[in-house]
Amino acid sequence: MSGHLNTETLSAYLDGELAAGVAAPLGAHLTACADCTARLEDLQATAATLRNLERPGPPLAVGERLRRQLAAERQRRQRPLWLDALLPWRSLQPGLAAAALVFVTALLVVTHFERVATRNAEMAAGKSEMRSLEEREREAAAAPTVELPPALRTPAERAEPGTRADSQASVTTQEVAEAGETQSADAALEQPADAVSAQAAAAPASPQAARSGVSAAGAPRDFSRVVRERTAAERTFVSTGGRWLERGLALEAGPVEQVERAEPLSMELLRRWPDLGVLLQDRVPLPVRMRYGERILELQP
Amino acid sequence: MEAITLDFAVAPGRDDLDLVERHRRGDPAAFDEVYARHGRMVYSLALRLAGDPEEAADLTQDIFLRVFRHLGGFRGRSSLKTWVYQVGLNQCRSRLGRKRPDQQPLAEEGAEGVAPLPDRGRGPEELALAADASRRVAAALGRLPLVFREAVVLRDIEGLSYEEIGEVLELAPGTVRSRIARGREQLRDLLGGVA
Repeated sequence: MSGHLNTETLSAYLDGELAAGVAAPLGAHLTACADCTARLEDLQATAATLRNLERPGPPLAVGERLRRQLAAERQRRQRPLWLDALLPWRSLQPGLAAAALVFVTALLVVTHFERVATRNAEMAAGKSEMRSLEEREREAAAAPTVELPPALRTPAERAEPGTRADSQASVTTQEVAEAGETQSADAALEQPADAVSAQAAAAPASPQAARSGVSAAGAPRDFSRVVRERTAAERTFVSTGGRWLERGLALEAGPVEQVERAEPLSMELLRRWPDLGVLLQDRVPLPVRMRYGERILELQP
Repeated sequence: MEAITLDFAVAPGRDDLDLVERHRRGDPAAFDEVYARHGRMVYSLALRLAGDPEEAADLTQDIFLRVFRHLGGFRGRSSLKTWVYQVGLNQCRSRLGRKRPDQQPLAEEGAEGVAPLPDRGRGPEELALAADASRRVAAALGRLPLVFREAVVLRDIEGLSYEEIGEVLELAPGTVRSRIARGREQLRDLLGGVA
């Protein structure tokens, strides 16, 4: 054999990873070549240095920590799926988190105006039990404007920043009221939204409702599925996916005073508002529309 | 000259599959056994790749958590050992890949070589020298590019065969040979020649 052996060959030879037919002539060369032998010994010494390094086992604390972690993991696996929806923070997509933040902000603003509206309504309640459609429309038009955040606006509203964000919602409210009148509130809560919406769709729609039935983007906006809230004090989550969500998103968070306190989106907040978690987990098909007093917010995908 | 070859069965033993099956059925003792069998090799791998005991401890925990989550999906295409190494290596890569390889400087830069390993029955001075040598080798390992570090750690510290290394690293045999050789060569240079 002429010349010298390359490092790769020497290294594989050292490890006995060369085929016998190749290794034998190399052995003969090494006996004769001091240079290759010296390099081989260098490699051997390096490998031996590594082999002589201590190979410790994991500290006991690692086993302990792992055991605790696995216990939690096992428990999580046994937990029903819906409970995971209450702890969505870890799996939140940044976009959804931003949408949630916008949504929460909108909710706080709307809740404030709603309180004002509720007070006004209570004061007016004694005057007339049954108002005409025209009266209700006038009142809706005069309701305080809440500028919805961009994420909650319809494409048409986004295209026309000057458009009153509440115009569509207030119109829809009429429809909601009519839908609610077609059945008892208790029955509504016991039925899936699809069944309710079938009844709601049978109710006569106001001209404004017909107008709001199609957005500027051409997508149908089927507000007939929005179901009337059970009482004036409670809120109802409504999904277009034909499924009831927990009602009372706002009220379950605590007294109104607490809701109005500005809070950053946090794990704690999500725990208190499981519905928000449900939405963010995308377990409910979006868009989801939520009715708050005189307004309907739409959370878009 | 002594050629060192450690042969390990690459194919999964019946034992591996039984263990996995028990884990799938929810037997907690099965995973304990996986940890008992492979805990040392995972920690050692993490320690030698990361070069820091605390980080190795965290990595070991993360690796076994992943093993726990994915063990049910183990189909026995390789031995459980190489599969666990693979999981471990991926975890180490994802953490260490973000670091520059030269972030761990040699303990005593510029010092001459590494002291020869003392014999048994060594005195305190020799023990101190051995500990020092060990630190320097570990530090030199930390300066190897990750691809070579992986290869020599798996070969010379963990004692895997070339075939097993090929499986763990998903490399062709020729590439395994080349990486081990280059890793050893670079390490020798970093250590300034090993007497």
